[in-house]
Amino acid sequence: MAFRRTPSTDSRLVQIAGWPTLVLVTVLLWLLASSILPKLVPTPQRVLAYLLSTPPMLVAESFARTLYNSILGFGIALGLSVASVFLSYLNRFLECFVASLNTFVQSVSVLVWTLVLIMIFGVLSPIPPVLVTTAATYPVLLSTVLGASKALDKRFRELSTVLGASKVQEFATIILPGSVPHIASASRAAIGVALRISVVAEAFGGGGGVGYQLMYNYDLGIPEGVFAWALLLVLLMILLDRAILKPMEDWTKRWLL
Amino acid sequence: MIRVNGVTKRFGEEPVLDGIGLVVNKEEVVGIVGPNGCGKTTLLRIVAGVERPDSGTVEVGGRLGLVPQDDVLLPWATLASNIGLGLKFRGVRGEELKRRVLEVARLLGIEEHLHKYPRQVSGGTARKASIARALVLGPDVLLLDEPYTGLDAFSISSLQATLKRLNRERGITMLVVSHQLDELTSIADRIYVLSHKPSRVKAVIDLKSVSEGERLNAIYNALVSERWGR
Repeated sequence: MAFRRTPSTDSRLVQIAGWPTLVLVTVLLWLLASSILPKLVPTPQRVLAYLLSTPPMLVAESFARTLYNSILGFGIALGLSVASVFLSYLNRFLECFVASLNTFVQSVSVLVWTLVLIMIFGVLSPIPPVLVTTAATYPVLLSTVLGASKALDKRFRELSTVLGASKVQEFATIILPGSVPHIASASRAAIGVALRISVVAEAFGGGGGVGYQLMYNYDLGIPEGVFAWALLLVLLMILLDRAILKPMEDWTKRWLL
Repeated sequence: MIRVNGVTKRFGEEPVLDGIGLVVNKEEVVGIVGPNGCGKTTLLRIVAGVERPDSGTVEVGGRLGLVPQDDVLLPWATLASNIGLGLKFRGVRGEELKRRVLEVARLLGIEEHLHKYPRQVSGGTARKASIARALVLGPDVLLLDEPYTGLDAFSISSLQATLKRLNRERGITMLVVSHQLDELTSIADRIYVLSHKPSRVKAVIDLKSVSEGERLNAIYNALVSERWGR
C-alpha cells in the first residue's frame, strides 16, 4: 500500500480559531449573566457606551499609572532576585540565608504587604502599589532564578573553574546568561502577576491607576464602569503578553534550540 | 610534565581509581584507553584540577588546557566569545582579545565561523573551537577527553592533522583519552591501558618500540586480556 505524505494544513486554522472562539464564548456567557442578573451585570452594549463616554486622557493616564507601578515594581523585584541569587552564590551561609528568605517571602500574603505598606506610606502615596508589586513578583522571580542557576549545566561551572574565572566573572559570564531563558519565562508570568497585583494595591489607595478607577466605579455603584475598566485591563494584559512578553521569551530561548 | 602517583578516587562507596600512576614527558603525546566507565574521564578531570583525588598526587609542570568531552561551548555566545572566554577572565579586552582569538582560529582553520553560534556549526568545527579556547591561553599541556567522538571521517582526519601539528610545531604535550584506537595510535607515543573499575594501569605500551602494523594488535591484546582476564 502506498502512502502520500502531505503537509498538515489544519494546525494553523486551529491556532487562529482559538481566539474568536474564546471571544464568542465570553460574550455569550456575559449576555447570559446580564439577562439573569440585569442590575448587577451590565450588557456589553452598556459597557461599550460607558467606554465611549470615558475621556481618552483618563484611560491613558490610568493605564500609564498602572503600567508604571507594575513595571517599576517588577524591575525592582528582578534586580533584587538577581542580587539575592548572586549573594547565595558567594558562600554556603548566604545560600542558606537566601533559601530561608525565599521560603519567608513565599508565605506572606499580598494583602498583608498591601495593608502594611499603606499603613507606612499612607493612602495617597504612589509607593505602596509599586512595592506591593515588588513583594508579589519577587518570590516568583527569586524561585525561578535560584532554580535556573542551580539547574545550569554543571559542566559550564567546571569550565569556568578550568579557565580561571573568579566568582563574579563566573556569575556574570556563565550563571546569569545561562539563566536568561528561565528568567524571561518567569518574567512573563511575573509581569502578569504585577499587573493584577498593582491594580489591587491601587484599589486600596488613592493614587490613581486602573485599580483606583475600578474601585471608584464600584463605590459609586456603576457596574458598567467596573466592567469597562476590567475589560480594558484584560485587553492591555493580552496585548502586552502577545506583543512583547511572548516574543521576548521566544527570543531568549532561541539560543538553546 | 605530568606525573600522577598512586591516585585513588571513590564516588560514594564505589571505588573508581585504584592507585593510578602515569607519566607524560615534555612534548609527548600519551593516550589512555580502557573499558567504558573505567574512570578515564575522572582521571583526566583530576589532572585538570576539576576533581580532587582521595589520595595520591598529581604534578603538572606548565599551564594546562582542557578540551572536555562534549566541547561545553556556551550556547548563547558566538565561537569568538567562547574562544576568548579564558582571556576575558584574565582581563584581556578589545583589539588584543580579537587579535589573539583570530590568531588561534586561523591556526585551526575556523576563522570564517567566529561570528556563528555553536548550534550553527558542525561537530568538527565545535570541537576545534573547544580546542581553540584551550589553546588561546598558551598551554604547555593539553588534556583531551574523547576528542574524536561524534565526528565524521573528514572531521577526524582534519582534527588529527591539527593535533599532530600542535604537538610538532608548538611542542604541546598532550594527554588524550579516547576509544578511537586507530586515531590514538597515529598520534600517541605511549598508551596506558586501564582495567575495569576500580581502575588500575593494566599495561603501558610504548608505541615507538612496536612496528606500525602491530600497534593496534598490542593495544587490543592488552584490552582483551583485561576483558577476559587472560
